Amino acid sequence: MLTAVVRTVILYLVIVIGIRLMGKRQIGQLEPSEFVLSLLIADLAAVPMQDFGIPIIMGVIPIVTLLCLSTILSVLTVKSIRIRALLCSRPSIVVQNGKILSHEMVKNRFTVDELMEELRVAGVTDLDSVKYAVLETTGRISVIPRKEEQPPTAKDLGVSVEEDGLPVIVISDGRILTENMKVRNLSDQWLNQQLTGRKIQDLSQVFLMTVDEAGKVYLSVKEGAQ
Amino acid sequence: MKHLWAAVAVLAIMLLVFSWNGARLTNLIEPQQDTLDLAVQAARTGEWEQTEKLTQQVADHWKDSISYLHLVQSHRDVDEVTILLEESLEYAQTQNISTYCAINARIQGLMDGIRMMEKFSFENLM
Repeated sequence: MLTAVVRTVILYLVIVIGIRLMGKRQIGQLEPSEFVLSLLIADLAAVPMQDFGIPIIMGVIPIVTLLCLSTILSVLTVKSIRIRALLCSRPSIVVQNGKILSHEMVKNRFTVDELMEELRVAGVTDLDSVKYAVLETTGRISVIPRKEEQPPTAKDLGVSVEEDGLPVIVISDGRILTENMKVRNLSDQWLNQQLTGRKIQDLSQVFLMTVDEAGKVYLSVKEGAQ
Repeated sequence: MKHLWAAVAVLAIMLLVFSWNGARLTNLIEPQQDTLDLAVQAARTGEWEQTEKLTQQVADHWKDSISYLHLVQSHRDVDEVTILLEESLEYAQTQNISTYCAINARIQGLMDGIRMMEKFSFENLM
């Protein structure tokens, strides 16, 4: 049984590192080659995990080989448009100016029901309001409504708005993130002022504190701390 | 490009290491098979002391390499050869010629299987 635990830990670590090397995509966003790779890795790891008669290296070596091949292919797809088109295919326009392009639908074996479902997910019920619907290489549909159907932006309305910028976490669960303090050029004195201003005596009372580029502070106190 | 070359290097290293592993297995198993052949010949001529000595030699050598063999080969095959070598030794001690030869043939077959498994050949690819 100890063997089972240790083997599982080793294979789990190999898979976690492998998946990490693949990038931060989710299952629904995987390219076909990445999806196949995920299935194969899971299957390859499962066999030596359960069968102690198979050397663990027989599970690790094919996983490493697949990861190397995946890395080679991903670099080649970045470098070459032809290889990218071959492995990942190309996005297809399935709706243009409110008209369904049936030849593209047939080519991608995409049914009208699936198209309508994806449009409903995107909040579109009227096909006429769609300028373009693009079937992406991940299998998802991107819907671009006609200009007159799009909500007005601040730019359209001629309103000037301030950019908040990206908020960074300064205190997380009572711990000060000094690296992020440096990013925003914040001092300990400034932090103490902020906390005293909000009547917080102890750092451990703070669950989350963020500061954006404009210096706007968001602070969340732990439940029952105040 | 750094990632590409790193991946190519890992694949190349694996190919080299496993080619070396195939050669090492052959070098490890072939002499044992030759020794077992000599043991069978000795048994057929009634030299049971020599048969026992040669079989013991193979069994000891096999046990010395067992960690390496477990690392790269199916544990079942490796363990089966270990058990059969013990049995073979027993039959050499009891001077049972027919069973001794039959068990040795099985050991030779299993050893062939282990050796061939690491060989890069069309049969293995298919």
